[in-house]
This record gives sequence, structure tokens and C-alpha cells, in this order.
Amino acid sequence: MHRIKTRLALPTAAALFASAQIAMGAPIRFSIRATDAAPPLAGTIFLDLIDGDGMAGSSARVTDLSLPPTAMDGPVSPLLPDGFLLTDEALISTLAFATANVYEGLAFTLDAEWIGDGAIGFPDALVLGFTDADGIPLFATADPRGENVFLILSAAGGENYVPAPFSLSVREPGSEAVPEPRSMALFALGLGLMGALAVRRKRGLAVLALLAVSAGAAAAALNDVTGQITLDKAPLVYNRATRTFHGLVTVRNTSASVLGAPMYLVVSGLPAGVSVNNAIDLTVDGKPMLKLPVPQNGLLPGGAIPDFLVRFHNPDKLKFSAVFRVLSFSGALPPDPGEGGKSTLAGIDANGNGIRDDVEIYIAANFGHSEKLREALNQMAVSTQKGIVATTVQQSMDAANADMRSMECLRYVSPGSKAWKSLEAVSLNTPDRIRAWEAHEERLGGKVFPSAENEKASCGFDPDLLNN
Amino acid sequence: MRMRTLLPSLLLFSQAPSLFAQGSCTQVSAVVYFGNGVGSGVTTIKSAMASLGDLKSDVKGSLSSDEQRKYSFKLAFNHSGGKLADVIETARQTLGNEWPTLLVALILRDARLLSLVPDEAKNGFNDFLTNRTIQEMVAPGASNSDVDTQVQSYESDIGEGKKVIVVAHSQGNVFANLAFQRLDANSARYFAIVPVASPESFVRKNLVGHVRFADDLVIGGVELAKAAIGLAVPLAVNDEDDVDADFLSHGFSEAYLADPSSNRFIVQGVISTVAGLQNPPGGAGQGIITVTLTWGANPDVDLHIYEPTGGHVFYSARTGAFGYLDVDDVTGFGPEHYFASCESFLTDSLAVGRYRFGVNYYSGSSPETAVVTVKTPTSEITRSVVLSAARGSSGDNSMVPVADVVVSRSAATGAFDFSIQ
Repeated sequence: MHRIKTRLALPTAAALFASAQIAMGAPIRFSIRATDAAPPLAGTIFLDLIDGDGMAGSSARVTDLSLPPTAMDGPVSPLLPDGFLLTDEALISTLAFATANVYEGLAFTLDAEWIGDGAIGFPDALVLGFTDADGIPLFATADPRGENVFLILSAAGGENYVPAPFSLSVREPGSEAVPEPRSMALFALGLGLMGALAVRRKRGLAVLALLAVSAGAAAAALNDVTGQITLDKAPLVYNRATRTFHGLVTVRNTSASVLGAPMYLVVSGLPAGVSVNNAIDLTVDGKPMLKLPVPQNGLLPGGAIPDFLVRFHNPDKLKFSAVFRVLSFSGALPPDPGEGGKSTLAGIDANGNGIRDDVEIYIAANFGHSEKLREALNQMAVSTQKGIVATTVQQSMDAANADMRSMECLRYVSPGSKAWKSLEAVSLNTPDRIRAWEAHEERLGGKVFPSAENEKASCGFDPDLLNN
Repeated sequence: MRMRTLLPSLLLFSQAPSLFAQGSCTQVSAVVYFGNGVGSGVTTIKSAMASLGDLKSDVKGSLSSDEQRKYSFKLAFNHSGGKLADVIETARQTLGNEWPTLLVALILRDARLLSLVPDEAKNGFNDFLTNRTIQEMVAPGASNSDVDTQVQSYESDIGEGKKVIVVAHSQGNVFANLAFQRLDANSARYFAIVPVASPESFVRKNLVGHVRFADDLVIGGVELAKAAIGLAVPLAVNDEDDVDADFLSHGFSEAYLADPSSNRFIVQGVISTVAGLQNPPGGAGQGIITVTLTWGANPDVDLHIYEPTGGHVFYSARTGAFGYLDVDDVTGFGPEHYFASCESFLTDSLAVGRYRFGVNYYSGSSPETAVVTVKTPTSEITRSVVLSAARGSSGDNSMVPVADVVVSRSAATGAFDFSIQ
């Protein structure tokens, strides 16, 4: 791993960056404070050095502080004659500044050294944010992660979300401060220059793997298209309230082909104890998949999915190095109904095949590797949905008997399969659907359901004619 | 109760069931019901169906193919009267945006989806659900009237010469015990329970003992809770969960069927119970469709059947084109019984179509309630009809309809489909 000792994506620094050699190794002075008088507001300012790549080697020397830190956490050591050294020996190292008036802000001089180029995991970064005593952000900012941080400084480029009434000034120590609003303009310019340096954008592994192949011409198959895209990753930030780490991924189609929707971001490389927050899709080998917001007609050549949020639950603050792949569908699937598919009990069935479209996509994405399993689950999706929309005892009985057949069919095509559990959980994906199911089961209380003798005959299709 | 003459010539049951995809022509000698526990009160039925499938698979795996054909399996579904509100509120607070899906995954213990849920969220919620399950068992909210439908099915099966064994799990034991108390005295002789993880302190009818794990946290919790309020504690611990696939050591499939010694008890318990019960006299015939009518103390309610080709089967025309009114009662309570024979379905394509079942209140002096249980190889229903006044023979041609069974047959597979409407 080569070392990049860098000036950050900051106005003056970026300008220096453009002239290359003097960009390296020179400290930068940051100052954030409110320009307008405001009633004092107590809070805590955090400076977090967050490791994004799972390796050690990055560090931040923070000196000439305008406030003394009131707490520190992780691998932080004092520097003489003043200041602190934060390293990425742990996932996160923190300097905290509890203050009676956060509007007075914080000024510090930073000399950072970053390893890596962001190709592995996320870029390491220093993150600055203002929170209350409970870790809740005090000010709304334009941070696309929704975490309302002020500044993110990394080898991947700086991100400046300092909100009014605060202003940011950046300068080389000993030089004149760059005043507002020029500093902001320069900051933006600096980001652009950093982009040109292409530190942040890294291409994923060029591996094309066919994950699922369907014999049916119209059947959908999920393919690995990681070799046809680039993945840009922006640093992790830490949410103290939820104890989750949030990063951004931008996916761009660099191939000459349209990549079919839906598309999924597969996250792997996570140690036990680190999970992707709120994923509900899984690959065949159990890796979490996040559904990317792709237009219904797919991701066109050159098209991008910008700033897709990936949240990691990591309460033990374990270092990790996330590995990403992108999967894309080929073949016929209905459009993803998204949130619109949750507004009614019935949901959306645009292709009119009797299967709720969100469930049909889920089955194809999660169980599409087996034609028999997929068809058995599609049958169960229909019988489950009958139970969701049932309003009479007769309808609930019909639905439950159909569900018995679906369970028997699943047992025939995949003995011991527990896939019905995931399917039921995904089918009951709104409060109204759960309540409807509760009413459905209440109508079934005390009823008797015979088990059919021939499980194969319980399939509404001939499983023996399917390939796998 | 006096029964009119049985039609002996009708008791020729085909032993050539291979033509029937559902295998329903085999003479069944025992019906094994699975009586599920109610768990957390929601999303229970597919777990119950899965448990029934596992039980069936394991029991059949211990039987010869000839013996296998003598068993049939059914789910006696129990539903909790518990409310969802507190579960939903807890899930909303702790499980994030996808909480409905993750809530169901937690209740079902879906290891696949739960791989996406942080341990701390899982642990906290599991504690909550476990406590809720224990509370439900100490002070159940389910309606006891639900048991009545199950009792009708048990009595109908016994009337057709089948022994009834209920493998009851967890709170399913409460319902099974209650069902035994409501069985008529004759039927009760051919009925027994195999208790698994029972919260009850007794079992009403049992030939083989019970099983309870020492580390069953739910029943252990029930024991503590019941002892604290002076109630009799559950049946004693007599086994250990050596598999530990279920952190509660309580699930039917996940714990009690997974553990070898417990599995052996349940499977052999079923087989031994079948062997130990006497054969019911079987006054009623088995068929591909059967209908059992019972009522109260008034002398006579009659069962009427219209077969697909229009034939009207009733007390004065007991032999139809495809089935028979083989039990007719005029002294109160019933049963009356009709069955469509397997032979008809094997030999006569006209046997498919719509069967209409109804009742006529023939004689009596007060309002009467008729209870009709309709059974097919893939569906079963019990309905009650209140009859205000007896109509004598004037009602013979204007029966009160109760249920239709529509039979169709797949041209491709030959399988019959039965829809009760």
C-alpha cells in the first residue's frame, strides 16, 4: 500500500494541490465559527478520524486548538508542545469538545497523512460535527448521508457542509485567512480539482460472474456486472445516536450496454458483529444486497446512481473493509413498485401474473438460482397474498388451504427449505399487511386443515420439468 | 341413539389408491393432528403447517409403506387472542425502516433474514417476545369456542373408524385437553394426546407420557409465573435439548423434533398411541368426500345431498350415483353421514362437479342448531346453521343449503381438486 501524504480538498490546499509538490505535507488551518451573534447554545463538537479501509496507517495531527478537548476516545495521543495525534489503529478515534456555546466554533491546524487510494473499503477521513449531549446533531446540513456533519476531510476529497450562520475559513498557518464567501467558492473549486485527480473514484474488480442462469428465455436472471461499472466511495461518518456508520457509493455504468433493473449492491467482507443496516435481500451465499434506485428502463451507458447511502451497524466499532459488487437483472421482471407498492394491501401487480410485483422481484433476486424453488415460492406468494386481502372466513379458508398446498409443494421441491419464512416476512412488509394477516389468522382459529398425501401434486406446475 | 341400518354393501373400500393423486382411497385407521402452540400471537399458521409437515415426514419415516397409508395428518389450528399493538410498537421503535418485515422474521425466527439484524436488536426483541409468549400461556386470551370446530372433526373421523391422536405443542395442549372434555363419551375412547412442552399440569388422555426439556425457557418461565400466582405448574421436565438449534429450546420443529431423544418420543409416541387405542367401530364409511351432520336433542334433522348429475340423496333415497347416506338418525343428536365413494371417482368421470349439501329440520319442538362437517382430501370445514322450526317432509325438497364441494380433475396430472364453498 503506497502512502499519500496529502493536503486536503480545501480551497487553498486544493489550489496548492494543483501545483502538486507543495501540496504535500503542509499543515492547514481550519476555523469554523458563527459570524452572526446568536444566543449561546451548549453542545459538543466532535472530530472523528474514521477508518474506512480496515487497514492502519492514516493519521491526523491536530494542533493549535482554539478549545481544549474535554474527552477523547480511541487511539489518540498527545503531541508536544501541544495538540493530538489521531490514528486509524482503531475504527474511530475522537476528540470531543464540550462547550457552553457552540457558536464560538472551533479552530485547529491539521496535518493529515492518508494511506491508500480508496479502492478498498471507504476512504479514511476526519469528520467534524456538532451535536447535543445525546449525540443528536444540533444543525441541519446538506450532508447527503443525512448525518448533518459539517466537514469531511479525506484523500478522496473534502466535503464541506458548513451551514449558516457558521462560516469556514481555511488557510496555511501564518497566512491570511481566506474570508467568506470566497473560501466556499475555493472549497468547491478544490473539490473539482480533487475530482480531476481521481483519487476518490475507483473501479471495482472486473469480474463478470453469472450468479443465476435461467433456462426460460423470458425468465429473469441476476448477473454480476461489477466489471461494467465504476464505484466511487465517499467516507464513513458516525451517528452517535444510532451507533451506525454511514458511507456513500456512486455507481456509474461504464459499459456500452444498458444494465437492467433492478440492480443490487452486494456488500461482503464484513466481520461478525458488523451488519448492513436495513437490507432485506441476500445473495445465495448469504451476503446482504441493497436495492439501487435504478430507472425502470435500466441504467443507461454513462448513467450514474449518485451518493447511494450504505449504513453499517457496528456497535463494537470493529474495523472492517467492505467489498462491493453490483448485480443487475436481465430478462423479464415487472417494474419495481418501490414505496408505491406498499400503499394498499393488494399492492401492485403490473404484469398481471397474480404475484405482487415487489414479492416477485424479491423471489427472483433472492431465490432465482433455482427454477423449482422460484416457482414454488411464486405459488406461495399468490396464496399468501390471498390471505392478506381476505375479508371473510371463506376467503381465509381458501387462502389457508392454498397455503397448505404451497407449503407441501415447497417441501417437495426443496425438502427442509425455510424460504417460506423470508417470503412471509417480505410479504407482510407494512403495518396494514401485518394487521390484515392477524385478522386472517383470527378467522382461521379452531379450523382444521388436512395435509395432502402427494406433495408433488400440490404444486400448481410440474416441478420435474424444471431444470434446477 | 338409534341408528338406522348401515348399508353393509357400501363398506367395500378400494385398496387401489394409486390412481388418486391424493391417495384418498386408502382406508385410514388413524388421523394424527398437530395442535400448534400460539407463540407470539401473530404469523403462526405457516409455522404450524411447517411443523405438521415435519411431524408427518418423521412419523412416516418410521413406518412401512403399508402402514404409512393407514395414517393421515391434519392441522388443528390454534390462534391466540393476543393483540398485536404492543409488539408493533416495540418493533417500530427498535427495528428500523424495514420493521414490519424484520418483525415477522423475528417471530418466525428466520435465520436467513435475521443474519441482517444486529445481535443486540435480536436479543432485546427475543426477550420481549418470549415474555409475551409466557404471559399468553399463563393468562390466555384465545377463545375456547374455537375448539368446538376441532371437536367436530375429531368426532367425524372417529365416526368413520379412525383413531384420533393429537400431538399438542405448547399452548396447543390447553386446546387439546379442552377438546377431550367436549368429546362425546364414545368418541373419547378413541382419542389421545401426545403432549410436547405442555404448560398444563395434566393431560386429559394420554398413553405414552410427555416430553419437556429442562432448558425450555418458555415452559420454565410459565412454571415460575404459575407458581408465583399459586397455579399448578406444568408437567415435569424429563429430557434435555442436546441440539441447541433453538435458543429457547421450545420450538416444535426447531427443538423438540430436532433433538434425537425427543424426536424418538414424539414419533414412537404417535405410533404407540395408535397401537394402544382400540379401533373405533366405524359406523360411517370413509370416502373421498364425507359429510357429518350433528344437532341437539330434538329428534330429527336430515342431511340432504344433491350430486353433480342431479340425484337427490336423503333418508328415503340413501343410495346416490356416487355416494351414500350411510348413517341416518331419527332420535336426536345425530350423526347423519354421507360419503362419496372412491370407486365412483375411479370409474365414473361424471363424479366430478358440484355436490350440494344441506339440512332439513324434520321433527322437533324448539329451535335447533345443525352442525355440518364437510371433509375432502385437501380441505375441511365445519358450519353451524340455526333452524327455527321443524318442517317435516315439506322441507325435503327445499333444504337449507350449508356447503358445496366442487370437484375438478386436472387433465394433465389426473389430480382431483376439491373446493368447499
